[in-house]
Amino acid sequence: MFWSVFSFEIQYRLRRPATYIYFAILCLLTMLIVGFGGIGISEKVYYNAPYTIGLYMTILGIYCVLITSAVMGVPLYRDLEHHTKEYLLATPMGRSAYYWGRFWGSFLILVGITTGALLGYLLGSWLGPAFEWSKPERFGPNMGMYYIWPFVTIFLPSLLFTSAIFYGLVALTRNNRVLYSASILLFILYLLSNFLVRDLENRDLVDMLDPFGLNTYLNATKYFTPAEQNTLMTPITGNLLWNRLLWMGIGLVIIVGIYSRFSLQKFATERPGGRKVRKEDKSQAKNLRISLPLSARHFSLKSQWSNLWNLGKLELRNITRDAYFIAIMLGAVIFLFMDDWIGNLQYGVPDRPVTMNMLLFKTYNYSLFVFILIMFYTGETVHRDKATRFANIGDTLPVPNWVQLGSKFVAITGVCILLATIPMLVGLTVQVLNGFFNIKLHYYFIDLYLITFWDYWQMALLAFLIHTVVNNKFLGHFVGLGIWIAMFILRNFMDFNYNMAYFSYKPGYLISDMNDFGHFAEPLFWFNLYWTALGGIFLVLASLLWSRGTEQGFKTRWAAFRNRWKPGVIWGIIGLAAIWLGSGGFVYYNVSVLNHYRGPDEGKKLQSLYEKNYKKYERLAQPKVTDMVLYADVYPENRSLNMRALLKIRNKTNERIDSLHLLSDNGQQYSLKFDGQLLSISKFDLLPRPALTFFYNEPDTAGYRIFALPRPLMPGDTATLEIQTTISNPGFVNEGYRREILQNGTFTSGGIPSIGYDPNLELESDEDRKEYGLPEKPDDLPPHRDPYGEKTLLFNDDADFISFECFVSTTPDQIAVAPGYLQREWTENGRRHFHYKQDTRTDYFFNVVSGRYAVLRDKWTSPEGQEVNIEIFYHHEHAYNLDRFVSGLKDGLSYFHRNFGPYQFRQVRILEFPRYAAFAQSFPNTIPYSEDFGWYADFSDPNDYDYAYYVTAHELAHQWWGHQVVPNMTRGSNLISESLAEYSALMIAKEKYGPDNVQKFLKYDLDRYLRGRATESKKENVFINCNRTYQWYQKGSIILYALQDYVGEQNLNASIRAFRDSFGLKEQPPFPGSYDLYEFINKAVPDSLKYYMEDSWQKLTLYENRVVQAKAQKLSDEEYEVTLKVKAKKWYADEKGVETEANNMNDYVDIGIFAPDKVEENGKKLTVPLYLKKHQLKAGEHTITIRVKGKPEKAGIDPYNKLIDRVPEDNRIDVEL
Amino acid sequence: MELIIDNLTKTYANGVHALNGVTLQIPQGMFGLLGPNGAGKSTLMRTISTLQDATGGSIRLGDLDVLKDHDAVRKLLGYLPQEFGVYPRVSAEIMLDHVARLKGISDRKERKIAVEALLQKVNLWEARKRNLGTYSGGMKQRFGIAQALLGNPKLLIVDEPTAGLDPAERNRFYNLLSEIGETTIVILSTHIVEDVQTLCKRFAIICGGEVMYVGTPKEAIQMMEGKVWAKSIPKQEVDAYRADYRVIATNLNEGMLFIRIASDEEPGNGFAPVKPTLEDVYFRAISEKMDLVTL
Repeated sequence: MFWSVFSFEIQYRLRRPATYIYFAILCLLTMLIVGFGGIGISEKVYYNAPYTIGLYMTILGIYCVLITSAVMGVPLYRDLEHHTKEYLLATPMGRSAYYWGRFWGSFLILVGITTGALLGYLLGSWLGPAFEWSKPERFGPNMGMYYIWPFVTIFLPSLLFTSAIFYGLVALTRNNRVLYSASILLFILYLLSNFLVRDLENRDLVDMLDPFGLNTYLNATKYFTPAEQNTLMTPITGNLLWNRLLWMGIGLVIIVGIYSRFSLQKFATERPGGRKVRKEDKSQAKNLRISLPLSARHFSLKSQWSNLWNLGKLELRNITRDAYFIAIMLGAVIFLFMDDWIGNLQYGVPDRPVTMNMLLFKTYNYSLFVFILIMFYTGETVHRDKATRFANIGDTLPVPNWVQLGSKFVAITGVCILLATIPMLVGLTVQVLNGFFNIKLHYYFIDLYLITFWDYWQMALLAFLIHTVVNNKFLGHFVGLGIWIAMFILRNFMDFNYNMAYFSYKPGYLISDMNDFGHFAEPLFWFNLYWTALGGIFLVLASLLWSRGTEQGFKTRWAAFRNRWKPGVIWGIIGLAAIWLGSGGFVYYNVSVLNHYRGPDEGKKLQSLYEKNYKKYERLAQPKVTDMVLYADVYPENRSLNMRALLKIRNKTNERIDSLHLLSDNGQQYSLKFDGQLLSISKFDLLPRPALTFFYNEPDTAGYRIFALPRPLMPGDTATLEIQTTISNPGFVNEGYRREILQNGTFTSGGIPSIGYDPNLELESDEDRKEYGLPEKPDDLPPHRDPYGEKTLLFNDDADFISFECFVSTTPDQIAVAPGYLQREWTENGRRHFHYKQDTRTDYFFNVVSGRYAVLRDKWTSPEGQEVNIEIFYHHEHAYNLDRFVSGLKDGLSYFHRNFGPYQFRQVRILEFPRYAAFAQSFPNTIPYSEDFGWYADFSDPNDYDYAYYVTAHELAHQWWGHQVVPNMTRGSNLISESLAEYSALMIAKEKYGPDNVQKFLKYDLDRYLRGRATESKKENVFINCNRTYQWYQKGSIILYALQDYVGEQNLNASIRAFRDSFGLKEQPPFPGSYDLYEFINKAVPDSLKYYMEDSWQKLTLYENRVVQAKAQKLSDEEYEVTLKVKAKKWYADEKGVETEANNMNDYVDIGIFAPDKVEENGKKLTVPLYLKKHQLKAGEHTITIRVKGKPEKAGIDPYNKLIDRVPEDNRIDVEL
Repeated sequence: MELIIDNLTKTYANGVHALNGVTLQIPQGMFGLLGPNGAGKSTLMRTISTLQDATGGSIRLGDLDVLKDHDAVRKLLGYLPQEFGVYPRVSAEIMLDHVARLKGISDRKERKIAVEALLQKVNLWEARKRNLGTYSGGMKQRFGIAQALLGNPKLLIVDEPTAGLDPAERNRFYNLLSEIGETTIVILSTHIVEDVQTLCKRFAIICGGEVMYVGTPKEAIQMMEGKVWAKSIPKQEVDAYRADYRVIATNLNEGMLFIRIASDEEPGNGFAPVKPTLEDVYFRAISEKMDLVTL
């Protein structure tokens, strides 16, 4: 019996066109995605690498929910839908045959359908390179197992799980609408695990919670290097294995559980929905004899409007009373609440619930729910009367079309208003519950009702038109979804992001406490007007196509369309079109005429032209700046800045210089005087016309310009340059923050052209370079000891040390700051002026800041009596963590002064700037620091990583590493600046938190280093040649921390101090490179540890240490004997990430045994080591026995993660007693 | 006021000729539409009810052109479709109030009076607060009747209204219709011949999209007077009789077949004259269009 049901199901499905359509869609889509390289992976990884296929299969598990629900939802529902259930019971078929036959039959078909993806993948990997859809070198060898392995181990469990859910739910509820809510529930589970993934601590939970295993897969492969991604089939072990088993198991439990309750009788006879009680009305007819009253009827315009309103209310009630609407809404609210409550964790630290963030998080998970609700319920509303068949009555009522349609529109508008209001309600709740009362209601109102509502509304209007045109609910959803996906793909992957071309898209914006809605208000208004007017046209078109009555044919509707095409309508469309085109014209004028929008492709083209035309001038002999006087006038109200710079230049080369090569940002215009004589450009390029700029007065000049000098500069000659320029921000742009000059919080270091060719502006990606006919770029600076490199400074080849003076003015309510000591402040012509002067020579690195600041002043005094003024310029609402900044500065000054030598300035300043960029940057005695970087973070948990303190210490350390010792321009020299700053900050943290509690800093470093190398797109350099942020920050941090642990903090500091003493404030070349630091440090390293210097600086070394077992035996009250089984292994990797085992391992590795954490009064947890010593270990397994005093709780090998270990989690284990 | 249908034709996109030159004059009072399934009754009613357009011909209601002036017709119309749905999460009372509003009863009090009267008339008063989704088929049908009667329509179209009603409810409904028929054009489609006989002043038989007969039930029966004959025959001989006579009804009883035929002249052969019924008229009429196979 089972077999007959099973084979009937298969035969039935094989005759259904849908089966083949799904297969074809999967096959085709996969083929295109693979062929065109639509999977975001690092450039050195093949599109058909086992890692990539695995990733795709995992993601496919999510997308296949759509197909699974369609395939697995129908086998049982079919009998209800077609009323075949009535005679189901009359057949001798058993429930087991029915239930399982249908299930496995459909599942087999589903598996068959999904093999379309495998076929598509294979085709893509052949056709992609064959037709050059993407670069042939992006495809590696095809191996059958690469496909089958992830399909079976990762994808099929997802498929079985979702199939069980969909099939089971229909069996249980006899209702196919439940499929929607189940899909949404699955989606919520997935989002939940996504949501938790932000926190490093919850890794196991995240791994288990994701029903599709995507986060699990990413976690399991996050440290795979490109070489591994290309060759390694993801091992199904550990969490990934458990996750797959768990969810497959849950699927089986669900389907078996439901089977145990499943009754064929009940299934076939109960009413759909099952819960509604059908009750015949028992009451007797009473007043049947009353006569029907005559009612007065009115059909005035006023009553029509009131009908519209009331119909709208009824429709809104229909929507909001829908159980699924409530469920999805609840999901939306829960996610928004969680996002608002937890917020963005930086290093695991939460922020205070500031209003600007409450409004930010609605664009996270919440926006997905909004999208679902609007798309789905617009369809429901449009089709409700037809679907419930109330239309047969409703369409004959004396209600004009415009009232019918208008009421639907009112309801959907109501939904949009509701959706726009929820972020405020949730945000306020979170703020009040947190006891946070700096609530900015006007932010809520402006953002939600003047920006966000319109966004939602436009989405609804488009959905409205689609559903009216398509006139079929499911097809309508499909088309709507398709349009949004197509726009998303085109915009994000096809290098065309012109917002005017994508319905409802507008420039991204960010609210800042400092700058409010700032310069975003204007473009958002115009874009919203533009799209809403188009939405209005959609609405009119929808009303013209609105189908009424029982005939839905194209002809009928076309006839209705022509009937309704009347002057009023035409004028309406003309009016809306006028607004649409008018605002569109204005947007276009701003984006493409005032500002010359260039797409990503055009930008790359320009970059390639720059390199092709000017690479020949790289390292051309040019003068260097020796002195600078800067006059800067900030005009915050119209976001412009006038700059005049007087530069003294000097020919420090041995060659005669005839021409000056200057390079300005984005083709910035300026005038140039040479010794008082105005120079005109003798050679420059005109940029090609931007593709979308049709009205073009003047072509743009390329930034690279060559000026013939009126007199040649002979070696040693000096001259004066005067550069005058205005930075302005006309109109608005397509996308981007243009954050430098603002109404409040200006922070710029640009404006003045730099000297000579800058290789940093070249195209970076090798794939792009190939496309534009450029050779691969290895991203390497000149080799060690290169003569040119040694006499050139890393950050700036325009100057060595200079003298600096700045006159800066701004509006009276703002304070303007530049590096240097304040000489004088005065007001003149209604403007506030400041004069800053740097009385010692510094590197050529300046900035101008202006804002409405509150100022905190403090002072640090060295033991010798050197005084340093501390100033924090902050936004008045952000006074929460000022003490942390101050103590970071003070502790830093003390430690650095003591260990690395005196501070070269008499002041240090921190300045807050708006959150449009999230970084801090160290200029001489001046540190601009992003609003988002700890100013309003909540550090109340003493166990949190105090990154405000740590980052402040890091930036302060740059005053030594970067400003005192300025690295030269050779390979790896940036580690002098960044790794030493990281190390310095870690030492402060160690001093403050104790050596046993630095692990939380190291843990983040290790994670980021391993992730960094996993996404490396070219090659991984050894540390001494470092050329990537993950190397000089995170790897440098770990290497130097371990080094001080090996050789002693004092010893390492002494050699670093000696290094500083020989290169600090050095004005003459040779400047130091990484090799100089290496030599200084190496002197302090005993022979027994030379292997470590070599492993860490000159090789790529990875450990694979883990503890297998830890057992303890109680010897006496106090004493325990702990026996540890540990495994040690060391690998060397090459630059592509290919690893070979080191055969000479005999290294010093920490072995530690720990008592339970001690908790201080304020809740701070402290690690308590009972034993921590270095053991010299060879590769392999070791058994170590140690006696400790005190009860051991955990034990491990390298428990503090001082070494670079591929799997840091398995270094500690609970001790068995 | 009269409803005048003139040469109305309707061809669907799939080529089906649903109406083929239908011409009818429908005065005030109850007008019955009889016809087999697929005869075009519903198409005709939907066309009058502005739910769909005709391919040719015209419909006039008094001075109104029904095919063009949809809005004006809807103001006079009450319609109970054969199939309709409701909003499941709204109560009958609210829904009726809402329909009343849409029908132009904008005064709240008047609406309340009208809705309450109708709820009582159709015997839904006790269930008025319940959501429509919980109604049984019969209750839903009564709700449908109530909404159609709201706003004192001048043209009431009811398409198979008694489906799902028990006999008592059916009677009640017919009484209600008769009462309304005194001042209104009521078009009632049904395939229960008896209903037409008891209720309708005039009626039409439609088959295959054409009007086969129009008149009063009495006239119709009179017309058949002396033209209907009956006889009992063995079952197996029916085919022979079918070839020779116009068989309009067969009735199997204890192995013998009782057949009725229509014939203007005395058929002889053992046939005896019987008193014609409206059913005979009906079957006689549609037998011209379709093969009556009742066995």
